[in-house]
Amino acid sequence: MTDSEHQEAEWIEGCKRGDTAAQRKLFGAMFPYLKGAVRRYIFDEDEVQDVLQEAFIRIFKNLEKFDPSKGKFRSWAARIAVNVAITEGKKRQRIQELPGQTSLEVDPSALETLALGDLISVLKGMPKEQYEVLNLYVVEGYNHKEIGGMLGIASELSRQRLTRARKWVMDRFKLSGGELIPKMQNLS
Amino acid sequence: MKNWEEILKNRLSSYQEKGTPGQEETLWNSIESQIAPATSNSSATGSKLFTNWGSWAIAVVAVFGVTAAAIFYSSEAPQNTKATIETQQVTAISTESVLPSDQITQKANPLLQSPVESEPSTSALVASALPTAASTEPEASSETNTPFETRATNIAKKGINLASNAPAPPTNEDDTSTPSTNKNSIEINPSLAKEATSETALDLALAAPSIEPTTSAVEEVSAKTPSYPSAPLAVEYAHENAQTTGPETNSESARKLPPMLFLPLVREAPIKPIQRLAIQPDNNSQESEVGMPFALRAYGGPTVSQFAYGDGREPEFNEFFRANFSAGCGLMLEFQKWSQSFAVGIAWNEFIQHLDYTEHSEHAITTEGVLSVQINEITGDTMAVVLGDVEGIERQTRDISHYNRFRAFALPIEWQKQQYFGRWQLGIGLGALIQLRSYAEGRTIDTNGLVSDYSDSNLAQTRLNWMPTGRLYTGFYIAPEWRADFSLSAGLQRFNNGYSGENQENGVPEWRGRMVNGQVQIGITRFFAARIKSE
Repeated sequence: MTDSEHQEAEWIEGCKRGDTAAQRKLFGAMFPYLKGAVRRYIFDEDEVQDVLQEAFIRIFKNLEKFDPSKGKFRSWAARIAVNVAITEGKKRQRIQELPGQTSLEVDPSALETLALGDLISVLKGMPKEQYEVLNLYVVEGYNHKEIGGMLGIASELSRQRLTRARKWVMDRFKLSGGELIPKMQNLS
Repeated sequence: MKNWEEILKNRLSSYQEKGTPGQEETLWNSIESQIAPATSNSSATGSKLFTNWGSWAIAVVAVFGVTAAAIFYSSEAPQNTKATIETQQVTAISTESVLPSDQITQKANPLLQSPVESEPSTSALVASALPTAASTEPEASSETNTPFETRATNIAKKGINLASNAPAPPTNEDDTSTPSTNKNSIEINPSLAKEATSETALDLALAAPSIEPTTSAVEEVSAKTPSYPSAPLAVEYAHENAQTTGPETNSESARKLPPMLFLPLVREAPIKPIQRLAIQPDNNSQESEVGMPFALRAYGGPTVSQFAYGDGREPEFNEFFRANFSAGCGLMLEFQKWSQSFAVGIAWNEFIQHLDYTEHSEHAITTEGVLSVQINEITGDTMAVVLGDVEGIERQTRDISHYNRFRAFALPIEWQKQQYFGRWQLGIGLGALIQLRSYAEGRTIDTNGLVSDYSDSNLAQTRLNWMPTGRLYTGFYIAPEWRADFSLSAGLQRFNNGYSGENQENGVPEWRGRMVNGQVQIGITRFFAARIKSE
């Protein structure tokens, strides 16, 4: 257990005892991480605030249910935040045209050279349905059955969305001169 | 890094975003205000503990007080009369119930007393029977003998009685001619007779060296012989021997016969499989084999098949393919070579799997719809509705229940190993099935969960395929040259279309998979003996 995890564990115990100072410290430590997680699903800043508020309330109210033996606190908190983000996202569904399916090769190392902000901004251009599945599958590590349950869709549909998301990503990046260059003409 | 997805995961999962100045504090204030009641409750739990205990104590005291008052008032006058009435009724009922109970007692007395009275009589009977049993069969009193055992014991006992009347057993075999004239000259060692079971008694009576197998002795033994399967044959043999030998049964050669001489005759299999005949040629005859013995087995029966993808797909896909049944038949030639059993033949099989799947798909569409509605804020009336092209997603669901079929002519090759149990045969067969695909069609699922049809032309260009097989079989010889067979066979074969490059052009996804096939074979075998030529 690292120092930060040890510190988190102390704060969690403090939160369980009702220590307001521990709650504040835990909130401060988790805020950037959970905001980053919520940001992957919610694009609007105000919505991010709402989702974070709801997520933190759920986290503090359900701290008794957290079992350290089953995983890290960050993962557990991120799952709650992602669930809240998806639930809120359903309420604000937006309709986007599915992208055309073209096959372009992309060098995996190119993604490492792209600035993170650029990467996020590029990915935000993806249809939300696909973007959700891509995040849940690739980043969060859910399987299609779990994603289907979270999004209220069939697992096969999740699989299809992931395929389209993959194609979308490959369609919008190209490798030129050893650097990753987003194909801006395809981002519109 | 393996692929861009892992890069994306590593970058996005570690992504953190700090809030704008004041944003974090504002958010915390709003959160604190909402979680404060819950946490204050929990934090104040300790301080309010005493108060809670106090209220609990008051509540408990109040409940006890109310309960005690209720009990006290419930036992007062208004209920006393009722209780008295109930008591009287109970008394009346109890007095009424005395008479029936007496009657019951009187009626029950004979029944109750009869075992007590009959007990001495039973014990008397037993006591009267015991001396008889003890006098007749001292050893049988300890345990209950079956009639069969009793008869066997009688035989042995009779041997004892006879032995007591008979002269001393001769030490020289040549001297047996003298006691042979005596018809009651069966001599058995008493110690052996005591231990004699049904079989040993019979063996002793029949095969002891001092037995004189005269006709009368055999008749006496056969009259006392209990009925069990091998006994009649043995006695018959002895009877025949006695009749055929007649007076010569007293001869030395007859008495030198070993006790187990009967066994080959008794245990001889009524029908000998022809394969065993081929393995064990009769060396005593003056004949030799010219042709190889063989057998033809015709069979048929239901097949069962289960398909599963083997190209690293998620296991969920395989759950949609279910095993299903079809049929198959064949003709096998069974022969022996190098003291081993082999079989080759020709067969036709059909294997069917059931695809039970719900396909989900979605497509982006543009359709005409309402873009905006203008409403009068004061009256609420609709002022204008703007129509135009709106974008949407069309979702489709399709339930698919399809039977994938695979038919093939096959050349089974098999090595067999079997054991014989009388007329029964049990064996295993290991081999292979070389298949020539004749027809195939079905539906498959691509990696996106979409279903595609495939036909025979979408499968491998070479129609040849093979699969290892195993078979467990049993047979029953219903006649010397006929055997009824029952087999369970199983095999595993590849089933993919990864060899055809045209599939993608035709929109058929490529897959690699396997089929587990099984068959219940019911058949009959005809044995053809080797040609025998006399020299």
